[in-house]
Amino acid sequence: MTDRRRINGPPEGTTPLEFLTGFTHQSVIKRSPTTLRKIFLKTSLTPPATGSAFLELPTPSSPSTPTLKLTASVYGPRPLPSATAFSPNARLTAELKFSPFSTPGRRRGYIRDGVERDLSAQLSLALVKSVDVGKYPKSAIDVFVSVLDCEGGLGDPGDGKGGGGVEVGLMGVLAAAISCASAAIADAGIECFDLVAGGVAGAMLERDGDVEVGRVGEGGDSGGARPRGEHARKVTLVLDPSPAGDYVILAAAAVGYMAAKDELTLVWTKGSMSPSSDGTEETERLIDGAIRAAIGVRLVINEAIKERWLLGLNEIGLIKEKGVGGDGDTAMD
Amino acid sequence: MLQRKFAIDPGKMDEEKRGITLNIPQEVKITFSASPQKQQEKSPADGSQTDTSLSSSASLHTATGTTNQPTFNQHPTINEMTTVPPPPPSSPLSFPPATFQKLAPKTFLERHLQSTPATRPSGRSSDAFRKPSLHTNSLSHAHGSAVIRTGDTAVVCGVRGEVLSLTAGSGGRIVVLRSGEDGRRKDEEGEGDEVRERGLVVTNLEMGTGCSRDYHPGPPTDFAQAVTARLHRLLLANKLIPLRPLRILDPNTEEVKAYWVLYIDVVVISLDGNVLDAAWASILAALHSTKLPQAYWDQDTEGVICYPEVSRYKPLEVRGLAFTASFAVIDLGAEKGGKVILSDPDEFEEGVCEERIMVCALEGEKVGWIEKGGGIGQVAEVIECVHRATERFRVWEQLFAEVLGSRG
Amino acid sequence: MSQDPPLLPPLALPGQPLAQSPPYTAGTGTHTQNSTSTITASIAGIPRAHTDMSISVTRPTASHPHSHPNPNPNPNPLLLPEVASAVLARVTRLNPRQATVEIFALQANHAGAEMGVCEHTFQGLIRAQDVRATERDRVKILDCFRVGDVVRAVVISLGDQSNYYLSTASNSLGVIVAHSDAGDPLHPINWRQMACARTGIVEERKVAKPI
Repeated sequence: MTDRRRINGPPEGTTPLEFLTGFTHQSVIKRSPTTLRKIFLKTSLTPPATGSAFLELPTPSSPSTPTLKLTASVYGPRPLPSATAFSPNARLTAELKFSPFSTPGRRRGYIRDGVERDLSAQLSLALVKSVDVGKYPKSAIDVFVSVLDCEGGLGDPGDGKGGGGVEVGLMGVLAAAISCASAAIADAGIECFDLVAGGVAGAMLERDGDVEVGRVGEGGDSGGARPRGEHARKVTLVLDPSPAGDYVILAAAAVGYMAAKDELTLVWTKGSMSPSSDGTEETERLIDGAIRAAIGVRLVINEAIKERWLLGLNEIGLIKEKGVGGDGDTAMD
Repeated sequence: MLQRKFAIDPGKMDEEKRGITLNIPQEVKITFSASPQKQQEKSPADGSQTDTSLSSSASLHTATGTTNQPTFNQHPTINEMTTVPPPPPSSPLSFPPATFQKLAPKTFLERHLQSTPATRPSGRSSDAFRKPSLHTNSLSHAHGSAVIRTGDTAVVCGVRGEVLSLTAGSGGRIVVLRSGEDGRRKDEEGEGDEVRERGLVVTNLEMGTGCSRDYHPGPPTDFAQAVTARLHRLLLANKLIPLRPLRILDPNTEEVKAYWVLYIDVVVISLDGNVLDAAWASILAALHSTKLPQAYWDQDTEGVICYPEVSRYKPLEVRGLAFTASFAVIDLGAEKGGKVILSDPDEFEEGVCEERIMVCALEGEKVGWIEKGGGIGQVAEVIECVHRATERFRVWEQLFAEVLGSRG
Repeated sequence: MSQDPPLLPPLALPGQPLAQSPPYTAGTGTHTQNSTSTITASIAGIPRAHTDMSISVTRPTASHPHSHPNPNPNPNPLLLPEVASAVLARVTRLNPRQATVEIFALQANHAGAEMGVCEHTFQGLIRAQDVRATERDRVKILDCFRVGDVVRAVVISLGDQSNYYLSTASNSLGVIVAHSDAGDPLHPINWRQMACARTGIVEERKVAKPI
């Protein structure tokens, strides 16, 4: 589609690359199912914005490691556009945009497609309940998230990831966007009830899973036993699944979770979860796993905000290089 | 309700009616209460904050010759409407510097530049550029990428190659989309023309990322489109991208069957003026760090196939370096210092100054492109900009050598 | 009745509980969680307990390492115009019944507050009947304001979706900076006149009393 406001490629169109053999995938660092990958989160990197944050997941060990990179910037409270109706609360809008070079396979154009709209809507829903909108009448709070690099694919055709299973790339992007946007909102000084953190968990089918009594659990404790004779699978609950990994995810859940208030603002599950003899246990375990992942991310957000504060306070001479030990009151009661 | 009285001065009443004012000060001065101090430029690497040189309030002073206190009355009668002498200097209108900046931006900038030593509100001197920083190859799915920060302006550029086939179709039907290369000039000029005509380089600038409060997601604004057009023109005019590495050949017949098309996308993360210099440098850095897979035309599949091994990726042979330097010019007036050329203007300065100059410097102290507009100036000003641009070229060249040169 | 001061962390984050609600009350930057009657921080900042048993959280001045000097040197700058806060605004449009202004600086109503520049400008309206306190129905807007004047006003109402309603009906409110038709700066003479230094021409405005 020619976008007349941009410089377009040749009118005949270009094709994405085809490789001789399958894409040689990068080796994934082995980690235990309950370990989260290290997140790099820094706030205030976009000074023109009221608040901003940059998130990178995982912190790359080498320059060629695929990572998820996104920036969030928050503007507001600022006046509503003049045509909008009066509202005694602030209006929070969130927009998520993928850069053209962020996904493998085909280059994304600049035109907003359904994926971006969907994620933007989900992001607004996840954030709106955490902000104290009553304190800012007649104003708009705008959140912009820019995805610079997706770790794996997003489930688009031609991504090159086969093997079946559920695509968790999009969920990972949404969860990271929620966390990054919350950090930016806190950086902006907008009053909120709590910060929302995003977490993802998946039920992973192990590749060399033996046909044995199926167990759903964490690293070995048994859940409900299945009757023999069924083709059972060995499924493990994995927190923060990496989309670039070489395993199959049968089902996944992404949540937006407010840790201090113990409330969920967003739940998204994908994939078929076979009912075990305990009914909804598998779904519950997935969501609990995602909540645990979100709690881990919340600690990272707290650290990032504290780090920025110490930097600021150091600058104005309020504190002098004091250690921060002893103030560990960030535990969520 | 306060009751206040006018100072009635019948002698002055008549003159007031004639429109002549008495005891009016000869000039209304805008002064700053504190003397400015020397600044050092803050580099983005350390997180320290510059002090403002105008730490105390700016005030609007009215010099006066009389000592009568003005009085204000909400219930005037006709007799009491007279010319009252202006307020004494003990009651100036004081504003903190930030408010003054919003109130009278041009005067704010002028006052800064008229102080000694002349500094800009950010603390830089008028010929100082912001120190740039560069990181390359941080994006996983781009063939080349660069992140450039100059002060608070930050941009990310990603280069991706896709394939443009000269023929299309499958099975027996082959449609020739474009003619192969004819016998035209194979020198730089001809090659550059072909790159442009075939559209092998696609440059785009995206500003709708929340980089600044005026840029929302959505279709590109006029400014973004204008900058995109300038970048695209610069890239093609400097003929930095050779045609040869972009060709994809049929290994058996050595015919050109397809081309690489380079999609160059620049995303602005943060904007504080002078997006052109940062965007251009990021494009150049991304191109220099681009490595394309080795590709060939496969007759059986009638398509282009690439070798997946990273070791077989080849760098794009970019021809040399070119760097832009942008300037804003402000006219202080003949008796107050004339024209001042500000290197690397930030957002505030861009908003105040109308006159702009841009110079693209090449290797060997050559100049590739000059643009000037927005005001009437002397040729000497443009020459001054050329000198500053040449110096700036050396700074960029050194940065590129440090970051890119070491990677071989 | 003296209470032990609550154990407050040096830095509070949004959602962090600070103190119990019955003895303490929520100040700025905090809210009360109804379910547990706890005073919780709403922003990231330094929590303090005050003598009146309120807990507040404030962001100290330099929270953003800008390359420019920090534009807002006061803690907790007012982000939005509130009723009874003073504002500085520039007149953008005139109409026989009202003057449309663009608010660019705010000052909170409590003692010791300073004027802070807003990041985003808001639109405001000064209706003819709110220009001055006397003879409110016989106001000629062109004799009070001109486009480009900077006025000091007070917010009287949040207004409708696009405008805040302002008033200059007080001695200290009104035009503070104005320029004549020729472009020269004007300075105040009395509450309804300003004069030009260079030419001596007197123009009519609703002038604020210089402090």
